[in-house]
Amino acid sequence: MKRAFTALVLTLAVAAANAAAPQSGFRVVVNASNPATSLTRASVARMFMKKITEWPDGSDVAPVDQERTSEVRDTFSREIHQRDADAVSAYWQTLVYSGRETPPPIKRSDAEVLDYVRSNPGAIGYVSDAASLDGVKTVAVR
Amino acid sequence: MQRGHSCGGALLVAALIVAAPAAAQSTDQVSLQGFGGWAYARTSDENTWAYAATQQGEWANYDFGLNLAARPIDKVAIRAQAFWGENLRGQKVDLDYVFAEWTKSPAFKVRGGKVLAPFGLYSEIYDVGTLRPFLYLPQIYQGRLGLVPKSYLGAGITGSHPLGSEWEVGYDLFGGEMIFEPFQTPRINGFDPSTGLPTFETQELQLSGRQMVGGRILVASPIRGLDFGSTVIYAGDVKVRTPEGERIPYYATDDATLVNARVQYQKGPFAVRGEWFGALARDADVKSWYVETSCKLTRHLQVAFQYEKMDLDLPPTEDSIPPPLQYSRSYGLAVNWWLGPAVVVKVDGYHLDGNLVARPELAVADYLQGTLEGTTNVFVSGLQFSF
Repeated sequence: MKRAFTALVLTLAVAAANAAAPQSGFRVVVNASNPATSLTRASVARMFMKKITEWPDGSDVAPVDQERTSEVRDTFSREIHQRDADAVSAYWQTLVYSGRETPPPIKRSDAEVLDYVRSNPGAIGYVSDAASLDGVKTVAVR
Repeated sequence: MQRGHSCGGALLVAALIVAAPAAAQSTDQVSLQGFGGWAYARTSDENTWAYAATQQGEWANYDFGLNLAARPIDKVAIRAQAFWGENLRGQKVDLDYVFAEWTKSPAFKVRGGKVLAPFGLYSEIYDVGTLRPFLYLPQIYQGRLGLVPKSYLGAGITGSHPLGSEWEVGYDLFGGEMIFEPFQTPRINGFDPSTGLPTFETQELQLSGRQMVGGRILVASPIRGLDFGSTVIYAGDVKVRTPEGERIPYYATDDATLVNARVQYQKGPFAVRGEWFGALARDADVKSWYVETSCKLTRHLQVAFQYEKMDLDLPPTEDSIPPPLQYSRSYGLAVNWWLGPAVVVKVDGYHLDGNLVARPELAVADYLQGTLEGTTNVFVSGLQFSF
């Protein structure tokens, strides 16, 4: 009976952890000082497309991207932009060469993204599930 | 070397040298990207095509561009793009654009300088081969007519605004002087004393439209990948700019209206797009439309098809241009092998009917002698990249 109860508690704990992380394969992170706790998928997409450029308090949004070929970027692109990473890259190329906008800076690893987010109050980034999230804040995407 | 913009490349190089330390300090402030390509092109007969293909085959079709964006102060961006290249018109060094932009918000930006014309689907990415399925653009853009506006010298506002339910509208309003892609035309430069017949030389001209105002509306729909829009430009003082920089009257008009309507749908590996153009002037109209579809069959292999129709409409009394030179029908097929997202090898074939865009240098003389070839096959192969 005790063993069954323990199994039930573990199962519920795993389920609760999964419920707190609706995205799979990545987590959206912001600076620890950012009051945001959740964002809509569309808002996150527009922030990374530089179509939302300010947080509600008026500070600048500073998105940071991952390498074009990284697995986490592909997952993020499919779930947030609802397009594959190549399509998002083509979108940015079109804006760059037409002189309309420049893409977010690209970091080569989760660690570099986390460093950027820690040191920029308006930053928003994404990292793989396996990344250690010390010093940043996870934002739920709904 | 074409056009008098060789100093443009030097200016950009100087800017890059200045920017380099800043880039090392902060990639958030300076962005440097580039593109380029090379192509071999030949035609099945004496007609030339796209200033790139001849019956003998042309190897000297190459280009390279560098794109620089910098944000020297908050809310202000400087954007410039330099272009180097060669084709049948010779070598070319040019600044595609150089302008400053002040951003109030994504919905309101003000720009001033030399700015790419917000016209058709490809007019702002004219030189970037990795953003299109064919090595060359549809001939309304890249052919010998020189009618698609390429950039304006002046000021404009631009922005985009969400309309709800994932609808979004983008807009541009601009004015100044419109500059078009240069085109070549033969000019009588004397007479052969032995035959008494005229002799010709090729001259390069460029349309320039002053007293110009234009606007563009783009709409992105909730159907992801589907967008459409339209541009209208009016120029009240259209003249031809000579290589010496002189503006001289253009025989067809002194004012013109340019209209573009476009639609495209892209989903995953599939894309289809179509555009309609009208260059409407006092003595001649050019109307054109094309449809282009492409599909990536695998991560590497892409196929594309294109049909383009162009017509030159003249008054009934105008008979100086032979009928074959007044229309073009083009069927294009492309097979591309993407080595990665930014490097592609392309093999293209076209079949053209009519001589509006595929013609020899002295097409009228050939027509009068009965030697003008009415159909043309074109083979083009090469590679394009961006970074």
